[in-house]
Amino acid sequence: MVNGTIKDDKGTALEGAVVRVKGSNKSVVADNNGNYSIPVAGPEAVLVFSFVGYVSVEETVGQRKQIDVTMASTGGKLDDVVVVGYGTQKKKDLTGAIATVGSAELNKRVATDPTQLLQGKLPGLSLTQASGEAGNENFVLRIRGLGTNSSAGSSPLIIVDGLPGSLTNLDPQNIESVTILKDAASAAIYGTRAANGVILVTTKQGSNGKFQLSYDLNVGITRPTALPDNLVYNSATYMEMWNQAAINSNSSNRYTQAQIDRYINPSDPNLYPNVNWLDILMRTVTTQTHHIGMTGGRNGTTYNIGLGYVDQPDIMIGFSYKKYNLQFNLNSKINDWATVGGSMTFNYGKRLYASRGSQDQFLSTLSQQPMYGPKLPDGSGRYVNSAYPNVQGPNKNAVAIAENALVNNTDYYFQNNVYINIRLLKGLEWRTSGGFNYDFQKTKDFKPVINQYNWFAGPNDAPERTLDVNGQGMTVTDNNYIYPVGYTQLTYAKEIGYHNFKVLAGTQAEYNKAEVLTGSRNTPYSTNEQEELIAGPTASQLATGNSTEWSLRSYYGRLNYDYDGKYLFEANGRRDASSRFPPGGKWAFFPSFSVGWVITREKFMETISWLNMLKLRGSWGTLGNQNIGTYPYQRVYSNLNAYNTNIQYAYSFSGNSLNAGAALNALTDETIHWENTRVVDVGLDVTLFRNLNVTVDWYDKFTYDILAQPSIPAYVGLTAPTINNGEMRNRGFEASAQYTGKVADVNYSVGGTFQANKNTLLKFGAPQINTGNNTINIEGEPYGSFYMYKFAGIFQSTEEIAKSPKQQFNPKPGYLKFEDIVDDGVIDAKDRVIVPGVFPKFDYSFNASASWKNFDMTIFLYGSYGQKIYANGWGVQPFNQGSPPTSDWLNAWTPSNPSTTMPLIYITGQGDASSNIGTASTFYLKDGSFLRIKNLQVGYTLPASVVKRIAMSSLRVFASGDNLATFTKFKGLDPERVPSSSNTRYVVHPQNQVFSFGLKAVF
Amino acid sequence: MKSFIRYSIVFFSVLFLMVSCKKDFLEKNPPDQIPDKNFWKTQADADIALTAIYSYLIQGYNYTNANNTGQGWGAGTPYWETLTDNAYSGAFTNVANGAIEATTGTIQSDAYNTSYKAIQACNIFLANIGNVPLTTAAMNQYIGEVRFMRAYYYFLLAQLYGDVVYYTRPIGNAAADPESYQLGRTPKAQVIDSVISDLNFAVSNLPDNAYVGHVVKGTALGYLTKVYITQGNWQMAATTAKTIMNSNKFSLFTGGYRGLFLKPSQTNNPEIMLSGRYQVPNAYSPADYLYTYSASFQPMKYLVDDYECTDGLPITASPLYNSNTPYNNRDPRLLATVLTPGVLFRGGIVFVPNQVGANSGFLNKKGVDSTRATVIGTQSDQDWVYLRYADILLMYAEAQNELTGPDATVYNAINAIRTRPGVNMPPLPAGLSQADMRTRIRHERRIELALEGQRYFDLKRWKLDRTIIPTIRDPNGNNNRTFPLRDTLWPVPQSEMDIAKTYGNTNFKQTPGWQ
Repeated sequence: MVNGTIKDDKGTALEGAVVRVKGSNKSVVADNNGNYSIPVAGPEAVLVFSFVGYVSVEETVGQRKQIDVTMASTGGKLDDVVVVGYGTQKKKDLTGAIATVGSAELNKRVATDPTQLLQGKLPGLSLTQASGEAGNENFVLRIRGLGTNSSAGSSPLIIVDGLPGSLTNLDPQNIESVTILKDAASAAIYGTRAANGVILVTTKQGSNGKFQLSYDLNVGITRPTALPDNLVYNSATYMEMWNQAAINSNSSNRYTQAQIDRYINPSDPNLYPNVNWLDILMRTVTTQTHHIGMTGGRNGTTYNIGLGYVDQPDIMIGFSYKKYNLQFNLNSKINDWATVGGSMTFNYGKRLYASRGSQDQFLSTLSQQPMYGPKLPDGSGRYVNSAYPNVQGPNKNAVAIAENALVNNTDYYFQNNVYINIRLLKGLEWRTSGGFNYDFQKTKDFKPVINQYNWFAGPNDAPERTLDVNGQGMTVTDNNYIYPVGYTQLTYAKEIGYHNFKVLAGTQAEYNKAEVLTGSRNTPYSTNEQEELIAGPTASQLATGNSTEWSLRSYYGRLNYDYDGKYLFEANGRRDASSRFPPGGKWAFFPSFSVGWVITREKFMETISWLNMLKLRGSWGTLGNQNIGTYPYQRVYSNLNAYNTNIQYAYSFSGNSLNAGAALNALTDETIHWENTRVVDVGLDVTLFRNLNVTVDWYDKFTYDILAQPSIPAYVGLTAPTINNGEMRNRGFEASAQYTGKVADVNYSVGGTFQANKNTLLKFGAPQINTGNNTINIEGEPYGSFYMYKFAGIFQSTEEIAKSPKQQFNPKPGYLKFEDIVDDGVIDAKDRVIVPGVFPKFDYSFNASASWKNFDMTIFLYGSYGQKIYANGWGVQPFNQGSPPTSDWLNAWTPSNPSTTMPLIYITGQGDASSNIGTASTFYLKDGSFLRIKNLQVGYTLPASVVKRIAMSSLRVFASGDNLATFTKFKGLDPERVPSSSNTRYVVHPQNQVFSFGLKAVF
Repeated sequence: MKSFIRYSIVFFSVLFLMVSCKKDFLEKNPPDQIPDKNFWKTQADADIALTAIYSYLIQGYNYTNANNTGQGWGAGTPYWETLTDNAYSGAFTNVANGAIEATTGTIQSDAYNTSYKAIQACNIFLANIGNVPLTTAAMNQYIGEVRFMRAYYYFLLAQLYGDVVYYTRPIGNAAADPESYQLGRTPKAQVIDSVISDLNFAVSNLPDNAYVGHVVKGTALGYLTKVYITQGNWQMAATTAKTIMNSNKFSLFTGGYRGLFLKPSQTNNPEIMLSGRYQVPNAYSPADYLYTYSASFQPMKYLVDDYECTDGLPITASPLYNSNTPYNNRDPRLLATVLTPGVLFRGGIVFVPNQVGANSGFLNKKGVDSTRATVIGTQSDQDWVYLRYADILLMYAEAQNELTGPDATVYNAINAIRTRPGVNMPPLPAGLSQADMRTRIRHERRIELALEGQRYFDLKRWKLDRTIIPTIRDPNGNNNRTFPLRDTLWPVPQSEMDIAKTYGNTNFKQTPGWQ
């Protein structure tokens, strides 16, 4: 007989804690003083102490008669159940590389799209927000680097409540947890599309108990994080600089002194203004989010209902996004052995945007000159095209676009699933789940006829041109897809002494059908008032539509085994078939194995009291990727009969009626098979001093048989076939640490994450130089490495030019000098070099939170290091379509100001000066490293006694700031952007800085 | 337990459904495309495959991009003139200025890529047409049209690149068809021989009718004339042109010069022998947008000044010329070809060159419908004329003059062009020497075919590119153009060299001068 007391780390007795003799069914419960008493067989017996919310403790009895135990609170950590593929697992038993984040942590920040909230929370996941554009944030998600260069893509698979779904379309408040599966061991159960990792999302379920109503409100004042503040918007200075640039660029288009003088002492400041166009395009807006939650349950039936509303005007005029969200989750225990349930999401989104996108609006605005505003000074409301068109005409008037020519997109998205869970025998469960996603999008793009006039135009003057509204007439597009998925599976768990087994086997089928239907009338409407197809001229009407389908069939299984929670083993297997492969290549098998060793459970570790947990993990496995074009192997004749697609084969022999045409346009390979990714992972989970949790992982992710199109000679005249060819490696390291402690009344937690990944293209074929974005794909280097001339200074004299290697474009003093890499005395394409920096060397984040009495505070920092940004065009190159130069150009090279950092000023696109200085070189490659305070939040929870009086059970108010400060060398705009390999322009829609105030009320 | 059984039945049925649902669950094929194995069965298949081959007449460089629509191809054909003393564009400046590199791209690579797309389509057609049940005559007509097209593109390639890869059967995957990835460049003379043989087949098998959309015998003869004249084979050129003239299937259009290039009069036009045909809205031309919305294409003063006055004298000699009203009393083809300041365009706006940034002072008017308001994406329906009877007459005159000197048939041919209704220029003076007549014919070619994409190839065969181009200064005040001699043949795209290397293809070499 052994007895003792069970207490928590604060010394409070734990009434109800369970004491069990391991390997037997003997157990007792501690009384209200935490005391227990239990008979044991002998000194070798092991007692297991467990209590909900506390770390279980095991003690070998030995010769002791009294064993007092202090149990540490899990703090929501160790004994947590983690969502894994097709099931759940205790975190302590995990052998794969998994990271997870819960609702509370996630909702510390406020965002309209939950994807944004994952940034920096999950080591191994890198998230870049391509822009801050409302409803079009274009998050780029990468789990452990760019996995492949195939069109299969590198985006992870997103699973919502067990079935493939959308994260963006959820309301953040409805999310219970997000888990990422990083290595093959954890992801192989999703073999088919797990090569880029898996993101598992669960939505909030109700719990048995009283009905609870909650309301969340957030009001955010939103403005751009960064805008260029040194553009020359003084008209006279602008014109003088232009004239200097025109001399340097050998252009005869100049402003006369009389024109310039008008702005120095303006007779009429309205007519001769200094207009800052950025102030016109950008604005500060108020974003609102509301969420009403209803949750509860009784008699085995629980529910959770969420209603969300987001109103998000964009910081750029014209753009906006609104969404309405409904989430409904229901679970019901029918009887002892059967449970049914389901979840349903409905999301309605409405987005307004310019048809050429926010970047185009931004650069069009930057191309405008300070000598005029968006509308004529005579108050007639007419839009301006230019002031001095014979000198330089600008790009389109972005204000006219924002006020007249926006695309209207409405999106209806459903995501549903139901399940039934049946316990067939003790330990044997059968779960069947099915659901579908349905998306319907309607895009209406009306292109009005808007005239643009000269700034000085009289009332009867003809317009200079019509506004470029990206075509004419109207186009309406309906896109929809239906995506049903179902699976059924058996799980069996069994304990035999110290041996614990868990087996899972199941089968899944998926089908996806996407359809598009487009109607258009392609000549101008007679008025701008009738924004419907029916009102347009019928002669130019076109209709087109298409559909595509794909399907998947899978069998999967998993075996977990552990010996005494000390030695862990897991094996996964999945056999998949995809409609995207030819009959011989449809099926593939993806196995994985992982092992874990909880060293702290070994006897010899018991004496080390500061080391609470130490687990070594290792895994190996393969994953597949099939997410290439829907029909990659079929040898088909394409009949593309509309001119405005990429290829058309229709032709009109008569000139009056159209003849259909069809041609083979691609070679095909009918022997293709799945792309494979092999992942090896070694990891370590440690808990030190009870309160410090550390997780470290090293991985090697090797992708082979990449489905890609090899380069083929152009004389073949067809598109290259998709074949299995190419290899890529991602190697990296991830770590996270979190320390939770308490000093006096202050509870606090600090932590951070770190991830570094190195991408290498191992096998590719002929190097591919992409002159469009100055990158190269070459074996041995990261995919899409920068490839450009090396900037070697500014020519100071004709002597220097004469004795330097022969440069292109007849250089003059003040031009850029490039390095002669191959040393043949001539600068040409051979002198381009590979420059590192297309991917960050590492990402990192810090978090800290503290609470004191009713106050709480969190801060979250996120940083990225080592990424370079190639930024060019509007805002960098002077007078690109007339765009105002930055004030840096006031310090441009001149014979009397022999600058070594700024070349001579020139007109972009004109003459040798532009060709030389605009040459893609390291001159434009800037350090994009940054560290930013992503979020700071201060909250106050009102005392219960106070809120009770207003019929609430709790009320928390908070103030929060997003993107509060950024530490970076990158000038002007925001350094947080998608890699330069997909964008060489400096201008992108900036990220948002948000100051928000909110409350969370529970009734 | 009863309910347990009930549930089990339900769920076993679900399971059964999922596992056993249709056997073709994993068989998905593109619903909008025709599987290879079902094609080449009927004449309809032959027709749609033939249509696709013709469609290359209006496909080209970036032709779906509203900002570059089809430069160099179809209605963008005038862009070839920017490589000459007729016009300027920012689009192909490095080619125009003598700074071509293997990596230049744009027209330098697009002429190559697009031609081979059409050639492969022709070869696929020729390899499969035998499977379609057709009468011999019908079969030969299909083959004739397709061999014409193949000849058309090989001729373009040979003029631009010299020796080129020549093949006449479809090329497959590298694994299945390795020898096709080891091809070298066939000597230009041999390519031209094959071109002539394809054209001769077309001549023998195509109907001897007027052109209404499909190539006819006269079209094939016309291109045969072009090939011969490019070779300097005056005898064959003159004879072939004469055959067309004697066939009486074609004649000069008498409804006005400008009407040749605008839709209403292009249908059944007796002068047109080959055109890229457009139809709104499915296959529209970019012309009106391309030539008026921006100043991307600008005819130059060199061309404008070359138009005679109505008395048949050059502006330097004519008393009718007044530099204050320089466009009065000029060859009517000037105002039908070039948009001059003060003329209405874009549906009624006054053309002010400065306002659209036309530094040369001019925009294109040939094949541009000035009554159409233009915005980006404006759809035009004008056909692009590739070959017309006036060209045949000019080629005849040129070849015959080289053969025999300026005999009456030479005068007749060229005067027919000058004096036709709507042009009404005085006939050439009698008694010209052969050399004078050569100059006159070359001048007449420049004027008559201005901005139709011919001059680059004419200068090339006259070997005048190397003397004329270096005298040209671009209108935006930049440096003189240059013409290094190696530019007479272009380099093939650098990627083609890099790719050949990865296939271990040592037979494939860069154009001489560019290695």
